[in-house]
Amino acid sequence: MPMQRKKIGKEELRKIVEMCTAIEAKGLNPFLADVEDLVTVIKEYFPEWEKPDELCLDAEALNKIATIIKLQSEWLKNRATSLYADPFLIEEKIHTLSVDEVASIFLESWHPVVELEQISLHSLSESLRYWNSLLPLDERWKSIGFEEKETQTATREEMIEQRVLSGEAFSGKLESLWGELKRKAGGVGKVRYWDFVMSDTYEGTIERAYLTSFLVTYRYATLEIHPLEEEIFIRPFEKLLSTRESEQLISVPIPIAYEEWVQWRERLGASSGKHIMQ
Amino acid sequence: MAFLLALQQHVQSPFRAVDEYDIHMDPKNREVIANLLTSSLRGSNAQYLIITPNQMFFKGRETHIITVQNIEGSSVIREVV
Repeated sequence: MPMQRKKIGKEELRKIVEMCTAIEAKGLNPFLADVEDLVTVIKEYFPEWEKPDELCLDAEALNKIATIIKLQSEWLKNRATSLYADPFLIEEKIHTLSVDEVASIFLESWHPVVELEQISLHSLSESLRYWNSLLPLDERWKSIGFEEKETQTATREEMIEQRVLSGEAFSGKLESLWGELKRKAGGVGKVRYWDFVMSDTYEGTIERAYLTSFLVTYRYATLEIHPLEEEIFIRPFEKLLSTRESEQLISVPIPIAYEEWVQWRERLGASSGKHIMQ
Repeated sequence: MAFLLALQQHVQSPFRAVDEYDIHMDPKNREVIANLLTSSLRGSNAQYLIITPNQMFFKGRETHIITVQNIEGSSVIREVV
């Protein structure tokens, strides 16, 4: 390698180190550094370095680029937080606020309908004119055509049967399904999702899948997805986890098409040697 | 709802009406808020008139339930006894 080229190479590496140090020290936008270009420069000269001081300079430049990549990641995360606030981030932010701060924010966002400036002499005279023009209550109800209705009665059980009322607290349903999941998961600690939600009827399966989604959302259990094997397992937690412990929340849509449900039932029936009535 | 209930503690009126407060809640939160509403009234003389289109479950006997259903074009009002 000609000495001149080697000198230029060292100069390039020093420039990289200086630029990265300046970005880091001054808190500049780390995307000002084009990492791909910098790595190309390092690659270009790397095979030529022989002496320890040359190799050290090369390592230093690479280390500085790694720092820039880290800064880019943090910068992106920070920007994403300030531009987009999802429920998780909002919850995190609320947790960091003191009670006084939360109360102040609520008060600032509360706008009573009647404000002082709305009560003017003009609006008061308008209100009085409107009030005086109203018919007495008895006459008003006649024109509206108020009709008295006879009230029927129904028992709580009838209302539960009609699904107007719920027979059991939702949290109670979740707790009992969680207990069932823990029993079925047994020593292995997990059970196939479809084996767990499958019921004798399609409606029953939908209901179990619906409740299971709450078990996962509210951290009674978690899903284990094996995309290659196309298997989904559900793994119960021994105790209810706080949602704050969760690192990252993602949504997993699981469709339950009727046709697929029929096939699943047939497969399950065949494997257990039972005939399943549809 | 927490803010609304906090404000209600300083309201003198014995009757309060809340319309469809739970429309955007999932069933678990709906239940939590329903319990919070009833427990906030314990020991006070106030009553709430709550209107909800959702299936509900209120614990305890201090709840009076009236259902209004549109059956063949006319409103059928039933009191749950």
